[in-house]
Amino acid sequence: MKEKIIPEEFKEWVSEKWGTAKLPIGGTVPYHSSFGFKTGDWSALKPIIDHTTCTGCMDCFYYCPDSAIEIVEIEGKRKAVADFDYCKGCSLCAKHCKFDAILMKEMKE
Amino acid sequence: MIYEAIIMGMTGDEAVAWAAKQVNPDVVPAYPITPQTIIVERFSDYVNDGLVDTAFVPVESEHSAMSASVGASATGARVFTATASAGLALMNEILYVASGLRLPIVLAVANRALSAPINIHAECTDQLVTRDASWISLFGETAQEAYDETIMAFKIGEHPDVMLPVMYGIEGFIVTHALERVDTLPDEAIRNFLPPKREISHVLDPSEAKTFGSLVLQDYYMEIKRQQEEAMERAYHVTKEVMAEYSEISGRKYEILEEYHLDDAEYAFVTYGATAGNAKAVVDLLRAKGEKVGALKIRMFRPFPGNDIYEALKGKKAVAILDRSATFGSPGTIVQNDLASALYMKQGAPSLHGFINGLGGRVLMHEEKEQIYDQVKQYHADGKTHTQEWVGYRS
Amino acid sequence: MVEIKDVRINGRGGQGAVTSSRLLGEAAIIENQYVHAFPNFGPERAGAPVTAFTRISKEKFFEKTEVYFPDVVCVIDPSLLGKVDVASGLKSGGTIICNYAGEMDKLKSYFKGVDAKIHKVDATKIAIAEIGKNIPNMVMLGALLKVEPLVKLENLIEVTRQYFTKIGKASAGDQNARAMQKAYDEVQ
Repeated sequence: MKEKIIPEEFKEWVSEKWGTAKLPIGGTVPYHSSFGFKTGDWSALKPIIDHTTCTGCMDCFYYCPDSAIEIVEIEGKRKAVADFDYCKGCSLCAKHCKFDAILMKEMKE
Repeated sequence: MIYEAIIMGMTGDEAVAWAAKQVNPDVVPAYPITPQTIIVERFSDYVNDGLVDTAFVPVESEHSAMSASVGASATGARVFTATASAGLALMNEILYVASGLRLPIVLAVANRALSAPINIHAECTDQLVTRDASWISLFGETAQEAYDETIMAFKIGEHPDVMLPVMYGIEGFIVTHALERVDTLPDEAIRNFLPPKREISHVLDPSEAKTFGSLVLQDYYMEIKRQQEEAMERAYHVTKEVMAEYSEISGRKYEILEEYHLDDAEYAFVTYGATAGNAKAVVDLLRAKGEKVGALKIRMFRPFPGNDIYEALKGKKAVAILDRSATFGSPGTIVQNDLASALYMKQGAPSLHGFINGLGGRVLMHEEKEQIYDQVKQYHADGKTHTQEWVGYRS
Repeated sequence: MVEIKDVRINGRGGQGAVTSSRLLGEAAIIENQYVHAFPNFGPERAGAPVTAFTRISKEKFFEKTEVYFPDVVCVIDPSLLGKVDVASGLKSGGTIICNYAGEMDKLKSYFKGVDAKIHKVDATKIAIAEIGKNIPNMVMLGALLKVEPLVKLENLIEVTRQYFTKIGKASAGDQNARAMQKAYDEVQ
């Protein structure tokens, strides 16, 4: 899994509660600031990806509205991996998987 | 230095298009609507003839015109568009986006009555009701002002202390479609006045990526709105500076207020746009009869120059606000409400009498204005401090 | 007080009343005069009575209205006489100029009780002879300038030529120029 770097400016922004003088105008925010919002706890359902049936077709990668699916190489083959820090459990990946490789399961810690 | 004028005969719309051609904006997304149509037609001719470098985007509605303007401006482009009446109403949602994202889009408005009933003629309600959209809002009286304000609008909005969109209105047909003499500047003057590219403090740039238009909740929304207000306050000073600078190159005196025989006046007409021209003509008629009356033209409606107006009207007995806009169930006319707020409890402030007139292009004859003057004198004698009424309609 | 001349042009849709009010304004601008010229906009239909206005002054003026009290009325279409009150609002002692082929007495009978100087010219005949079409708008202005020297005829001819050149009909500019001169000479 790639390292998700949150911009320093954004960290300060969240922790320091900037006022009008310091805040950039127009409500613009630095790129990658959404790494700072871990939305993984929004749902109890999480995709469990069966790597024996996953073909690495990337359908789930494109359908994921939160970019929480990554494609990684496992033993020389492309496989989908879900990042539970950001996955909101919407189940789109499971719906779209042509190979029924994704199952939504309730996670109890 | 004052550049030698190139005298041209143009309608208000043509003057706007000609000024826009000289400014040579990067992107113009536009949708035609009467009485703004000539602006778009002429400008598309200039694009077709290769006289400008502009990317002209014909869109399917005004909502799209403003949306495309927002997108283009977010990349750092200098953007111009134009609309009127229902078109401005349809843009409304995106007006707030443009100002909230702090994009200095320039929008020419051919002021026209709103439906229903459908009407194509002059009325300023369309623009006045955008007063809370955080746009700098100017009005022009003549084709000359339409030309000059087009050029100044870019410089005001793009100023790094401002970064707000600017709209300026000229009234439908009596200005947009009327031929007038316009003293234009040479291209060179405009190149020297306006930097070739606009100031870019925050843009969509892949090398320094940013997110525009993200969700902002209770923790930051109010700060961002407050920044807009602070920019508006600075826009007041910047507009003054830009108008002074433009006066120097054009030889035409521009200020956010224009006073006409106001110094020794006891009573005054307060108005804006083309009505100001007629008010000045009536001041001449009344002065010839020995009446001590003047006129005050408000060129800038947002930010509202309340203190300047107070200074100009201090010591007058009463003023008649000639407001070519409709508002219903309101304590005053649209401009009167702001004026009342600005003058409230101030020493020497005159009493304020608002007159809704000229809706849908209805003419307010000079005699009717003289009657208004007499009426206001009477209100003053009767000790009335604030009235609002409609004039020039059949009951 | 600024001296202003208000001109109203009465015609029918398609006869060029709007163009003529504008070209009269442009000619005045060439002479460094100030103008406000525009038509009365409404539902535009070919053949319907239309009005257009040109307000001219040597000094800057403020008025921004249609012309309700003209100094000069120019009637492009004779069929308007008796149907439209072309003298409406005319200032007393003002000028009416009509495109009219008949006798002056008959023309004057349309304006009983109107205090005005009345002139006529057969602009339709001149237009058909010189331009080949019954488009007498500029012809009428040529005649008008003889009785009301608002601008110099040569300047009006100049802007008329420019206008036709711009729309790719330079020869029509020449024809109109000849017709305007002829009307200027023939007006009664």
